[in-house]
Amino acid sequence: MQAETPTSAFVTSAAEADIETYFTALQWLHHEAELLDDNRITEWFELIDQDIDYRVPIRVTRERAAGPGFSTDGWHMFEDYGSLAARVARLETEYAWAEDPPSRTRRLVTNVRAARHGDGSLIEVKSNLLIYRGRYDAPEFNLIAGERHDTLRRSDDRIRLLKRMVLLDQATVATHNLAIFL
Amino acid sequence: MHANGSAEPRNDEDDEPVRRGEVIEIGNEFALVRVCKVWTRNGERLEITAPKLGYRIRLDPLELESITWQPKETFSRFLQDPFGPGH
Amino acid sequence: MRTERENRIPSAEEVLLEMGASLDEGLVPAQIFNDPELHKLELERVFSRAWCFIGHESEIPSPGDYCLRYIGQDPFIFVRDESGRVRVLFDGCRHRGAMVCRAEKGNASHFRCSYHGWTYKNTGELIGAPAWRDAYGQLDKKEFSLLSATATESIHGFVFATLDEDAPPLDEYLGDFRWYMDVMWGLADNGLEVVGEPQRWVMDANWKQGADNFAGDDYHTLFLHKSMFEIGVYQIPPRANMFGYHVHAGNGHQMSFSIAPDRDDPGPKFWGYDPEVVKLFREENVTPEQFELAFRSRVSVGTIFPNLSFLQVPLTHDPKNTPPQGCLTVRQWQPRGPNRVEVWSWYVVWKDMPERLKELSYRAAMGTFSVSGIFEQDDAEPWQSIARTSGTVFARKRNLQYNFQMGMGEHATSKPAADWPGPGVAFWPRYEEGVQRSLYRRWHQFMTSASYPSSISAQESAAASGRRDVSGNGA
Repeated sequence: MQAETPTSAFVTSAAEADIETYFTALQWLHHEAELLDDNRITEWFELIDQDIDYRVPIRVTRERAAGPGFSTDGWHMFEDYGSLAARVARLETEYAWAEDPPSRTRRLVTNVRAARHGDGSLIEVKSNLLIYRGRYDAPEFNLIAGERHDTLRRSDDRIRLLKRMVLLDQATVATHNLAIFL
Repeated sequence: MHANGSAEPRNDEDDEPVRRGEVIEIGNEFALVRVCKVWTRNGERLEITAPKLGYRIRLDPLELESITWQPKETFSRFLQDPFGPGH
Repeated sequence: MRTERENRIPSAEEVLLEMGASLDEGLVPAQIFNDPELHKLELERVFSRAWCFIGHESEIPSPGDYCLRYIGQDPFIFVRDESGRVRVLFDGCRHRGAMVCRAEKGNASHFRCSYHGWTYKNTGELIGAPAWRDAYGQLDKKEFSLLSATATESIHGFVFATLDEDAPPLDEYLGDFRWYMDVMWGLADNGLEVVGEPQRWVMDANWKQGADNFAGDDYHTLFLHKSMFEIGVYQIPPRANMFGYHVHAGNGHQMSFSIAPDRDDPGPKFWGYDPEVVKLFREENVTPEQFELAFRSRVSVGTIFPNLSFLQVPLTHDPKNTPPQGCLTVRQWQPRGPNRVEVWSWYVVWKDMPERLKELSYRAAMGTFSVSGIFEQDDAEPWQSIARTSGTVFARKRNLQYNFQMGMGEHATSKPAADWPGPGVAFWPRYEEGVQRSLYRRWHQFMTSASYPSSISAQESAAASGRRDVSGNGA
């Protein structure tokens, strides 16, 4: 279960970036955010590659010398296609109270850096994510902030999410559940 | 070497080693030290540097060996002055 | 106590006084789930007296390993000293009170405070400070060690600490629950280990909701968690799931069991652990009665008073492709305010089980019972709204009381189970809320006692929670 947690290993240099790759990645991320914010979960799931590796490591406070504190064996989410399918299926039942009534979410995706890899069919993307989450009539809200390291794969003329690592900026998650996708 | 053949007393702290090994860092939330093997012309030592406090020591195998049988109490005694004499 | 016509919000003291009587009828005042005064009193009277969970020894396997933990809201260092002894030290420097350890985990033989540099061994002993002779001369260092929890004990690696000198030893505190710890966690030679760091998240709910839910609220699985049965994450049908046992273990500790009727039952055994894991379970490690119960166990869930809950259960994160695996989640409901709880969740596996199965067990547990868990996601909804309801002026002025009467009186369908093999008092089936009444009874006892309250046996506890038919049952 040990896994490399990316910290800064994945850095795209300006030289590797080209406008087409950047634009493709940007469009894809914006489209994904729209589907999730609009609660079109089954359509979102169509953007997921069958070989998906989707993880959200636990983070702990550590001294500077020890690095950013991302766990290599503790997770808030550790998903493959089957387990994501189960999450989607359950949100589609009539008893998914956690998201019914649904949260109002707004995903702000910024600081996008993208580069093509492999034979050109893979795009590696880093982005910042800020999610506003409001529920019921309360004016209070939750904010979830983090960085995402994604790999997108083009196959059959569609671009799907092959890998995602969400690096949260919180040691204690400041929302009552992660019934939403990050 | 002086003309009369006697060596000037020298502190290993001033000595530049012939060669240095790979530096490794050992840190926790209280301290960070750098450790590396250094070679003199005729032998080798382990160099420990405390970059934040500015101390350095080079220990030879015999000194290092003597550390292995120290009770933990020895280090507590060392740490009675937690930042060393200069702080 | 208020008179019936008095239209005002009662004080904490009045609520507790009224609750003493209403509990006999299975009624619990709403106000205890969101009240600043009661919250403060809880920190003083419950958390600083009870044996509270600190962590599992496998989280600090080597000398110098430490983690930061809380008793109530107070910070402690959970550390293994250089001699291998586990200690629970208060994380406040004796000089000015600055946090000595600030990283959530690490390894250190000595702790050096970042404020003035007072330095302690990881036993807590003060050994020095900068310019000691000039600054302090002959001051006796022994007088200024880091403060330590009053007592620390460990069972099957689970470490507990108490801050009360009058608290009984841990074994006595656990009462009949101790026997069940062997059943669940004492089977394998090399015991259990925690995987990764505990997950932490917050809810706008009162900590008692979690303790109450895990103490034996099986009833909510019929409806709140219906989606889990629908998609096959949990494979015992909802109504059949109710045919299990509630066990009062005394001293406020409660459990709920689903067990196979006999050894030949085709359903899960040993909580659904893989045969490769079951190979590690040795009859010699427990009594024959304990081994038999472990053999037949499908699900164990419960709460160790005050705020430690556990769930040992077969689950899967991917019902289409992966059969259910034995899982163990241990979680602590840490009070952060009258309507704020921080959940800590540990995923625990058998140390000697194959890595592949550890990963499956972890993923199944985390995918279902965690901040993202598809079971647990739903619990946050009612728990948060209960805090909201309970904090209203209306609820408090009108003395809104919640109904915990299931299984009381002549309409009770749940009966004491004469054939239950373990100590304590067991009821069958799980249509009863006596376990929760006992939890609140014990809480009430702590809240109203000026000093550490006397022990309460399982029989007394079950009887006091509205069951008069329990004498002679159980061990």
